[in-house]
Amino acid sequence: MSASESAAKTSGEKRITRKDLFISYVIWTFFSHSNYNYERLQASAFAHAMTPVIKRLYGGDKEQTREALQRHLVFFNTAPDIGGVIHGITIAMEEQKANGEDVTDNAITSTKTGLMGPMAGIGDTISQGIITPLLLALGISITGLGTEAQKTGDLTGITGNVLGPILYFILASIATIAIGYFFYTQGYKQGRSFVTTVLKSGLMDKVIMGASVLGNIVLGALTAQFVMVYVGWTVNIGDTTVRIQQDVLDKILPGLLPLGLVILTWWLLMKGFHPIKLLLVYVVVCILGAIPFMGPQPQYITDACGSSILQPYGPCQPPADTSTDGE
Amino acid sequence: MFKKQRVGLQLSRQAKIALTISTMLVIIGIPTAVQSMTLTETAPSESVTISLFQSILIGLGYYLSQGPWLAGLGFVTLYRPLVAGLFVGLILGDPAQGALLGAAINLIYLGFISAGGAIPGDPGLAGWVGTTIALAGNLNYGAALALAVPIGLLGTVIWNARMTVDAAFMHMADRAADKADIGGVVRANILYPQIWLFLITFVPVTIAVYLGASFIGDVINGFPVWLLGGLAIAGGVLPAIGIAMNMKFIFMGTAIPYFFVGYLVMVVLGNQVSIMVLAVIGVALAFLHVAFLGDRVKTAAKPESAKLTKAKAQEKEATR
Repeated sequence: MSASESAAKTSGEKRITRKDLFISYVIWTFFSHSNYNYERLQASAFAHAMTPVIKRLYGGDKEQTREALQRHLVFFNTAPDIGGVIHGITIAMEEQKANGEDVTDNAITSTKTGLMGPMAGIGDTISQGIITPLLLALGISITGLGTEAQKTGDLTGITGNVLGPILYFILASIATIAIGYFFYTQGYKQGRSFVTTVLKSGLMDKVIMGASVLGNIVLGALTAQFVMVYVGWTVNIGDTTVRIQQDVLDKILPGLLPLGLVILTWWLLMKGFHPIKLLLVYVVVCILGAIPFMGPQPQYITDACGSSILQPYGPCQPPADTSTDGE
Repeated sequence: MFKKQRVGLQLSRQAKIALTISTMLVIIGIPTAVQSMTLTETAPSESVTISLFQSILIGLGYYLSQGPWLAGLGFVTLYRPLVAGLFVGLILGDPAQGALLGAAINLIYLGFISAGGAIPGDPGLAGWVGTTIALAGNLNYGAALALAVPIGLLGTVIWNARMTVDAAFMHMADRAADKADIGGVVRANILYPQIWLFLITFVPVTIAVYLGASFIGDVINGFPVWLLGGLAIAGGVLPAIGIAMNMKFIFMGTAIPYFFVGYLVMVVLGNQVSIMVLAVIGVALAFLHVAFLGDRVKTAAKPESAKLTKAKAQEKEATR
């Protein structure tokens, strides 16, 4: 206590400079996941990001430096971009504490732990759940991956457009940096009230709602573009052969099976199935469906293209009569 | 003063390290052993051979995708197969094809989300190594996609090794903090964990790619035609999982109908409309939707974020 009083007397009020804040932001941006671990997740990264602040506020005072470092080495985990608001708030609180205001260790720690959960939830939803997939969808479709490439299963014929990944790289970088910097500095300038006003005003809800609408449209389009399920069954009714895929399902709604598959997968995931398990199950089912003797129609066995019960077209080239169906 | 939480995963840590090391030995060892056994076989002329220098670049790329050196952007850029594919393509001399393969693999990981330190598969490894093998072996689309699945699974082993061992550096940071040693805390956050990360990412990937990529590609090309056909079918089915994983986050509430709108627009227009056009329409609809709902907007994603928060709280409890 005496040390901080004497320091305050000699140097007046201690202030964080713009540069300190910026350096702290840069450290957090770079090293937030540098020492990511199961024990305390981003704890050491938080302490690291606080080092410019600690140097400025408690520089030269060993006891206070130690306490500050220990204070910030507790369990911490949040979204790296919008979670920066917590750092901003913490820096503001540290500043008040260093200037003799009554800010206890507990107040700082409970602010951090209280905010990291909601911020991680919102941040993961917005950046990982909406922004990144949207930009990825954009990049993937610009790259030129389309239905035709998948139907033939052969990518050698088409040329990819490198603009897709480049555009994704630039847009994703700009979005991440801009969001991160905005929240870091606003957290410091406006303190706790920033978070409470943003959360209470319902702005986040509106942003997430709007982004969900956009995301759902794009996901629906991706389903139509990239998911492909066919059945090769045919049913003989009298003299006519009815092909289940072309004559029944496509007449009801083109691409009914892909839509059904995506909804089914979503439902299974919501039921708690692990995505990796689902991946393996789907691969096994597809391979089993492609084994010749599983197919009901013997002529598929001799098809060198590997056509089968699940895929009437085969990976080589679609038969002439089906190419006009406009899948 | 408050008490620090020092109780971690001490009990199982040694077992996990042992598991990690043995798995890495398997990753490195199997391609080596198999290759030495099959040296007499002649490789098809179409496959690309990968030089040591190219392998090093690929290993370095995978390390950077997890490392901090790109302003923390590695996770949103290099870690995604779309970008990884482009770079692998550049390294191997066919950027267009690499980007295409990367885009294909990325479809599985479209809804990839890392929350609370757990990851469902590793898109980074799937992107870097999967594209390399697919390019080197001239694989078809379905085979590349199906190959990316087990590779992504192996990646979780690397991730777990990183997350487990890094806990030890946490205690170094504690000791440095006890001595008020700021530099020590910084070293514990950057230096040691990054050396460890480099060892478990760069080294196995470089060796595996150098010794195994062409070989694995040849093996897959030697599969019977029905198996290749099955993998090609899987290529059409697997993107469903990537899309559904993302739907878990946003396919709820009043936003649900828009999924079918997007789907039908694409189907009716015969896949001829670009995603960009749909995205612009989507932004307009999103504004209208929020404006008309006004104050009655109850966030669609709220249950998910609440769930995440809860999961994190539970994890925190578990680590105590």
